[in-house]
Amino acid sequence: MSLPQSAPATSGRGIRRAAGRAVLAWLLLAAAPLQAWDSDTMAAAAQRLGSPAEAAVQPLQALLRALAAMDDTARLHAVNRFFNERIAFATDPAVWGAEDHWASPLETLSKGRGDCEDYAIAKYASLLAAGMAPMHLRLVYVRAMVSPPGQPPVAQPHMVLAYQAPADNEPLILDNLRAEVLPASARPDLSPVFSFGSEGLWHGNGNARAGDPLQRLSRWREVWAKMRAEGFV
Amino acid sequence: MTMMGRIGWLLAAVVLLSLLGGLWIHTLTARDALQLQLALRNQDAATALALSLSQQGGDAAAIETVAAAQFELGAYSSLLLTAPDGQVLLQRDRPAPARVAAAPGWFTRALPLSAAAGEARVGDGWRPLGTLRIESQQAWAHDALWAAVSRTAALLAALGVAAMVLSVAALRGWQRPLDATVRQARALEEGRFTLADEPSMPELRTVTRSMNAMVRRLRDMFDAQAAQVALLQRQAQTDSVTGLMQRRLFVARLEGLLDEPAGPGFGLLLLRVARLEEVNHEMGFAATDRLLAALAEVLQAYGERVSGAFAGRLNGSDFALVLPAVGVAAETATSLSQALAQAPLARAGAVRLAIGGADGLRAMPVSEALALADAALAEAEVASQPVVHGASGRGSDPAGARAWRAQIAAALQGGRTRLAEFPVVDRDGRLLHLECPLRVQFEAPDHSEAQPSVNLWRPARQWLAQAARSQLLPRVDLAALELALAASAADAQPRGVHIAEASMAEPGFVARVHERLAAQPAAARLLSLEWVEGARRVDGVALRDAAASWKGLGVRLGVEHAGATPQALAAWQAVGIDYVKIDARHVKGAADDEAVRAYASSLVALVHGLGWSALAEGVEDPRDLEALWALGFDGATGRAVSAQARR
Repeated sequence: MSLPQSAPATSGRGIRRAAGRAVLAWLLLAAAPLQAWDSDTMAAAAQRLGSPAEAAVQPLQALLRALAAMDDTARLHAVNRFFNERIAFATDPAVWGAEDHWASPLETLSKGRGDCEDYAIAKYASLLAAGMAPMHLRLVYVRAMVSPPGQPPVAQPHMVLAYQAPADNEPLILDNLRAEVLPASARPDLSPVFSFGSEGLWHGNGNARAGDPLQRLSRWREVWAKMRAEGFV
Repeated sequence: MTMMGRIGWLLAAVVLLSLLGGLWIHTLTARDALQLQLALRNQDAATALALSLSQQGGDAAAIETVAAAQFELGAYSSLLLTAPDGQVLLQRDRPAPARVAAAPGWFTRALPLSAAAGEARVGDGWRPLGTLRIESQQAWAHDALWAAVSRTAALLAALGVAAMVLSVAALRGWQRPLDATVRQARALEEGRFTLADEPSMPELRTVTRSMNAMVRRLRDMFDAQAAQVALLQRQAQTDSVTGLMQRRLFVARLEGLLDEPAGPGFGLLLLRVARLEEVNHEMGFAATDRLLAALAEVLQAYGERVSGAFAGRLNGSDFALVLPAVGVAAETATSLSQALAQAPLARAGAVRLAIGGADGLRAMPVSEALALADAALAEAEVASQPVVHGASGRGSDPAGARAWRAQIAAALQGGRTRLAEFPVVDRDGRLLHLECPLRVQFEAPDHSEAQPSVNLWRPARQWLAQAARSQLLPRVDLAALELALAASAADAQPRGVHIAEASMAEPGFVARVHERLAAQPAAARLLSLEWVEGARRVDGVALRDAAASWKGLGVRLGVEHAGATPQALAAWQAVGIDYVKIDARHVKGAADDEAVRAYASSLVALVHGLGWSALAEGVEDPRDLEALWALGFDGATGRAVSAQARR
């Protein structure tokens, strides 16, 4: 078990005291509000990805710490802004040399570029890491009407992140096409097709690892496993 | 349980356990894989259907239609659409269909499949409509699991059988050297010192090697002892100067020959060194002894060349040679005379030899035979040339021999046989067994009707040689065996019967004896069977097999007329006998003769050393009997014993 908050105890007066302190720290940690993410795991994952990721993970962790004190709406805005500002849009072939690649949040950050799924996944992962309930967040396939400059609008497949407040019928949309968080009614350019979230991932299968072949069965499952490996959930 | 039995059971248990373990692991793995497939299928179905339902614009009828179509065309067991507030919007269930040949109930109950249901969200635009849950039919999965497990079980069972067959074959292979080792150990326990081939297994090899070493040491010790005994024998019974038999032994053997009334007869030559005293005086003792030794060597060589011939020194100047056939004495006397004339000392003219003999000797007292030969010798001394007399009217009688044979065969045929009984007792007078030679009753010649008291029961020594020449011995031995078995069955007395060398050589004889013994198991346990010492010549393996076959029925085995060749006793170790009867000529005179006592005592030590009992044959003098008890004999037979038993 990793205890990032506990002070080094080995220099203390004996093992018993150190053990007592460790137990105390564990009790404090258990009593504290549940923190979904694990900064050590995340740092280690960033280190594996290389120096760009290591550089990018610092501000992300600062953001995640700041999010702990915020309410859900503030979190949405902060996370939306963070990724929309840092990530430049680029297609998968341009970034990954592959037709379709679902990047993990740290992969996206390390490249500084990503397509619509990468934005949505990075925001989804960060919000879950901040402690937001998974049931409120949906990744939504939408049909988007995009207007290239000086051309008539064309329909494109697109993905956004939707926040569904418990008492509210209208979700809030986090999108990379529009920088701000907007209610669904303010986005007539988007028509939702299908939404998905954490259901059906069988969290009960507790030993799921990124290397587990089971996890590669679908892109969603694969990227979920990466999120776990990077300490987001 | 034997070691091999234990190893076998252990192997069987290990094989069974590992196969069952393998089957169990395989079953669990297969079930996990099936559960995963089911769960993936559920999830894919839920996602696909939710995707379709989300395109229906929230139209309840359309949603229900699409859901029903998917549900009814696919292999699902339940479908549930729940609104976000928990209200059930749509529910379809289908019980597991009745199946034909499939997994048995106990199997389904023992290995339940629990695949996660598929879940997906159905929406209408941004508005969530509900959560869809789909579960697939699982019966097919159970059937597939049952089929896979059955197949694997069958395969593993076949593997198990193969493993056991291999194990049993391997164990059998190891069993053989182990059995050989155990056999050798048992043989050692029974006093049979056999050598075994060293097996390839190191542990057994060590055991076998050490047992072999022990056997060799014992044999060496025995050989040394036997050699010592033989030395004693020579000292006691042979002349120290010439190495020939002393008079007493020679006469005893001659007596044995003369006892045989139906034999063809034999020849006896006497040689006398003339004026031995003077020769001694002239040449000196050493030279005279060399002369006598050279003479003895010629006689000895003749004895070795002709089977059955033997020579002895009767006194200082008289030598004797027995020829086992009639009609060769005169010729032999001449050739001996010539051969001896070539001897260096004789050639020097210092010594004169006289040779006289008698031919065709048969069924007469020893003194008479010696007197006949002596008379011829006296003539020869005068004539200065060999003289051989035929025994008048007592020569070979072919017609008589034929009559004897006919009588024997007729008696055997007609069952006119009975057993004589001579008790063999231990030092406390307890009966060891009754020695039972066969008597046959000859038919009375016509003129005997006038003498009804004439005893027509003939003892074996009178007709045994004729029986041997007529190949009747196997029948004689079987007749004696049958009589002894019948008698012992009736009076529960132990009996001993002789088995001839010729019988052992007869094919099927051993089996026939076994048959008769097995037919009367109680009497067989009272029976002792005896071979003569020389029967070893027959065939060691045949003897061993016969001994094993008979001993299994509780018969005791012995060797009779032993003591002439102590070294030959060693060979009986491998056969497995119980006692040795020392021939009369080695015990006769034990009361008075120190040499006899010394030799008999050493024989007893030898026999005891081999784990056998030592019995004395033909003890006639009660004083001899006392002396023999003092020497450690375990039993005795003979006139002295019979007389004692009668008292």
